[in-house]
Amino acid sequence: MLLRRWLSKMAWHFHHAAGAEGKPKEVATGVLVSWLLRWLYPMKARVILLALIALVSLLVNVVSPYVSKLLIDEGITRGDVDAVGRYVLILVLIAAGGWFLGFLRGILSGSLNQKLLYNMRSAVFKHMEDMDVAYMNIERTGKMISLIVNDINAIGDVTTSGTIEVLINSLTLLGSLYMMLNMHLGLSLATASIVPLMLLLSSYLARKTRQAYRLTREKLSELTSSVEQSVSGSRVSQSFVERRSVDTVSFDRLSSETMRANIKARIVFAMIQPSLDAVRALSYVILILYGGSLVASGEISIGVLIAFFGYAEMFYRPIITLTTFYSTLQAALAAAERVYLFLQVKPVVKESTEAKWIEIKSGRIELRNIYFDYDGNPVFQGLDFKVEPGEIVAIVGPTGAGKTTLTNLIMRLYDPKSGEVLIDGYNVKEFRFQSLRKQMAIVPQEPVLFNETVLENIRLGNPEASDEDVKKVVSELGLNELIESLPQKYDTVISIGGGNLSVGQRQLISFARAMLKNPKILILDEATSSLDSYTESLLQKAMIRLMKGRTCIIVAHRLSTVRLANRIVFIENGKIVEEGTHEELLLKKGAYAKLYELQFGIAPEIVSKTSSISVN
Amino acid sequence: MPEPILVGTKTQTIKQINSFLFAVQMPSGSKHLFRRIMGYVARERKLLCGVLILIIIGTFLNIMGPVIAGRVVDIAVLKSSSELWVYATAIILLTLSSGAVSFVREYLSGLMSQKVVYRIRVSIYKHLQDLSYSFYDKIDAGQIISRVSRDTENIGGMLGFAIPNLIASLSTLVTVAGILLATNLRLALIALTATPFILLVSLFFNRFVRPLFEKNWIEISGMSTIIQEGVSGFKVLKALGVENEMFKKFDRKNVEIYNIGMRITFLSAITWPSLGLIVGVGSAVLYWYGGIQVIAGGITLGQLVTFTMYLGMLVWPIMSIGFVLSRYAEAMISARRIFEVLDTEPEVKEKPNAIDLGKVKGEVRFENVTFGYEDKTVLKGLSFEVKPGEKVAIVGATGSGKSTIVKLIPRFYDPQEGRILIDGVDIRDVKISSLRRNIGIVHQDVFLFPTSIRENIAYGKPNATLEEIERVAKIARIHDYIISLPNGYDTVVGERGVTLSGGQRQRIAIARALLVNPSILILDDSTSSVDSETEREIYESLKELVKDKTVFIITQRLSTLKLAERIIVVENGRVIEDGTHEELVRKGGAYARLYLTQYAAQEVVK
Repeated sequence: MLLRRWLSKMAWHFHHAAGAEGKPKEVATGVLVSWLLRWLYPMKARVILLALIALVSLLVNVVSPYVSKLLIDEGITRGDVDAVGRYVLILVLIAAGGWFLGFLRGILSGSLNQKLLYNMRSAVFKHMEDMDVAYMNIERTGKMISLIVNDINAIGDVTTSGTIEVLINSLTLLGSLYMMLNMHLGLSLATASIVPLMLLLSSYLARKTRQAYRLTREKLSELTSSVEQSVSGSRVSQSFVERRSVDTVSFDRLSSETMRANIKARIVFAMIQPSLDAVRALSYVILILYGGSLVASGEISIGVLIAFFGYAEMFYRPIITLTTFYSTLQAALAAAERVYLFLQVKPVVKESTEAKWIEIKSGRIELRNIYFDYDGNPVFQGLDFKVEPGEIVAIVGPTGAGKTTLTNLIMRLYDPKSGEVLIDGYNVKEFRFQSLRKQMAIVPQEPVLFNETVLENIRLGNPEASDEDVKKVVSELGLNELIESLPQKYDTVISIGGGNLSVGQRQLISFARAMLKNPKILILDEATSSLDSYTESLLQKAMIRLMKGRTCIIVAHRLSTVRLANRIVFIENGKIVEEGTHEELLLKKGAYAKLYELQFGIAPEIVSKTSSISVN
Repeated sequence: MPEPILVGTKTQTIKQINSFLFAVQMPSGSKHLFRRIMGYVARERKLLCGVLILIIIGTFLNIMGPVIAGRVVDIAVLKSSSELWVYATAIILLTLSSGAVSFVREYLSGLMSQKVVYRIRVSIYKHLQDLSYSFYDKIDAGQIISRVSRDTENIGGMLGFAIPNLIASLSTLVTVAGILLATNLRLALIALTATPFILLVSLFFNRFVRPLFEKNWIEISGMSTIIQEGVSGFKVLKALGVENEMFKKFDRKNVEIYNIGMRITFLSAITWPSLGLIVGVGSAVLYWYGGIQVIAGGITLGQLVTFTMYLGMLVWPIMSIGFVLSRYAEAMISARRIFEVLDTEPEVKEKPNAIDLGKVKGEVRFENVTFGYEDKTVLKGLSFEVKPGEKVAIVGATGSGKSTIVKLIPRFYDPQEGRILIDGVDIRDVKISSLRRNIGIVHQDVFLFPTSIRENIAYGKPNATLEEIERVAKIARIHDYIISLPNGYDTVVGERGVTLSGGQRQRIAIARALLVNPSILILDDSTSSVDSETEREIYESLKELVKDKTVFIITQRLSTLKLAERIIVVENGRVIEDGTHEELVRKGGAYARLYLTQYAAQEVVK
């Protein structure tokens, strides 16, 4: 036992460590790159134009120091004022051209980037909506947000502006090398001799920075979650006084670790500029000593030396940019892999290509010989279950009996392993998703509300409904009073998580939403228990109105609602163990009767006794 | 204290100019806020002085570079290579020393700012622990978290980057301008003509581009909310068949972000190349005028090279002034948010001469207690008395104040009138910690920490042994479930680990409260999600443990009510009935009615 626990812990650590490194790539880089190119393909005209512009602006950049050389050698040194004027004019034109090209480049690569981001975000969100409930149950909110927001951003920057940057930088590197070689071979080689040092240094610094940065992020997120815990758990920590000093000490430790991580990062950061400057100074020294002596010996002109200073600058910068780009590229590929893998996941519950829009006329439900399991834990093994049109059936049973699973199968949120779910005699797989689900409604136990007005939340039941339709439905349910009690009535915006409404108010919205659908089949996963009796009776009345004329399945946690049903089905371990009316089952003195007794803490006979007291 | 009008209007005008040019809204009272932050910095004044001195030394070293380059050019022109090695050595020394200076400066300013951030964080955290329930009722957790992380980082950024940067920029600007003017007035004026243009670009950027980044950020967090709703409400969205509506909602945000992105693209595409244009044209003009000067013999070619290099050195300091100002404004907004928390007085305060309550017997007395939340009075002169070891249920409609009553006992709130006595001592006269040590409270909404189950149960008694933990877990009927998990008591709760049902969470919370062995146990609807059979078992096994403890029970379930020895019925903030279940049912009053409506709801079909 102990050994197993230890082993599973170690495995987790390894997994975690590997995940943090992000090393084990499941997808080959080539696959990712071609996948990324496919995104750019529809915008190929712009990509080509961008590449051309990059090429032209590169030429302009490379020429500029050479013009300065001509200006000095042919103008200033020779004392030719006209030549000075001429070359100055060329320099001004180059600057103006550079501005224009830079502008075009910015617009093109920026719009390309925005378009790519837009398309990817749309695609990922759409794909998320196409997934099935089984898959999304294991997905975490944080992961989806970071996929759509952070990962896609990382990909976008690198594939558009990043690629262009790389292109320009490499060409600048080659271009300036070519220009230098044209002027003086020896001096060029001397200048280039620093490149290996530069490469080593900048890749070392890039790695160090990444590590330091990662550490500060990790520490900050630890700090954040510690504050989050203590704020959201403030009610608990206030009750347990012994905890206070423990918490303070651990927060103090965390924030001093955060401080140290930040200072460490700052040290790395502080090293970058001085070390790059030092290498650059080395190149200046070479240029001064070797180049200066060349000028002195008359082998090259002073203009050439000044041009070399300019080209050296052009030569080194791309190297630094390229090495730092390498780490960005790695991060972008990791992000691309995550997005790619998510888009590869296919839902298990799929709409068949032959699926039709079928109108549900009677609302008859039949489950035939259903086998179903969650990851190998069997829930149903050959379940048969029928509901006649207009019948109200209550499903009762202990937690984990499969009550909710049953309703999930009817809505085709899951598919059974074998067996058939039939509605009006049609297999649910023959329905288009929309056709099936628009004609059914479910009121879940925990109402799910969205960060919009009450009106919009109800309207989700039927997006085509008018404001009047919504209000009509609410008054039909007899729930006007609850809406009136809200601060801005129908226009009250529901906070994220719905905390500004009481449980009863939230449940009411859920009811109205279902009613607005005017469904043939209604599934009620019963309202939560902790309502006061007034709200509960209000909701119960609404529930009765809602159920009228529909086929209804009530998943009952509390027996009070069970009494609304024509038939009660008691499920245990995925099997129907009892079936009948309330009275029948009580008389039977089986599982249902036992549950009933527990619920009320009194044997059924006593109920009639207490009722008689009210007469007095 | 009213400021003199003249000064007031002057500050006003400056503020307006600032807000127009830099799109920087300096928060009101910035000066005061800044002074308070400087209070934290004061303890690091040695570091601060070091940073300032290093900035000035660094500036001088930096401006030497172009001078040396110019000299090299002049020597080379003279075709004498003899002195070159002197300058080569000078460059190496210069680079090394300025590198060392900048390294130490960065390190010291980082150290200073991080120390300040650390101290601010710890003081916020400590203060948060002192604040009472009423504070947490109003505040949103995200707000507090961002104050501890993001806002303190903003202040760190201002102290560690923005302010040193501003000082360095200004000193570079002044020194370079001074040297230029001293060397050659006309050439200097030409070089300096570029500065207003650079300033203009910087202002443009801050006025139009930066606000868009802010806006973009807001839209992105709006998008995150939609994604979050899409994931957490996934099943419901599927069941409703409204995927298209949700996608439309997402698409609206996506389009909005796209549009902002395009605006940023356009404006950035104008801004950044413009800097190149200014420097390019500026140096061309310098070459033209300077070239003629060189030909005429007014200056040397080397001096011209120095001048053009200085022109390049002016760009970043000027650009950075705009950045720094907006960072400063951001930091001031953050500072205000931080001080807002630090200045919040806890509503429940301990008296300076508070005594230690010690272990109580558990007698609780409410005397004429009146209490209300901000807008509504809940308890109106409520009085009752509970003997040590009594098991009392509090009953009433929603909003009648049941939960409020039990929250007053551990002093989560203080009543406006009347007093509460435990063992005859007014709870406001005792140390808060000594009071709460005696009370165990389990709420309906259970909060568990995302740590192991073991740590959660041992929350109030961090040094508890596994035996103790298992004992209370058995009483709360959760032990069997816990050991069925692969990692047992070490299983982590929450997103990273196992997801517990409402009932399982409640049972863990009960175990957590029992572990500290309180004299007064409060169960505030704390088994509402536990199934009936398990609930009965819990109460059965509790009986022995709580034999001599005072217990308060709030519940919606009739079966649970029957476990209480005594029932207090509350209505409109007053006790209206008091007695055993049988007495009250026989009496035929409010309790009997309530008891029957519960049934009425259950019998509604008949």
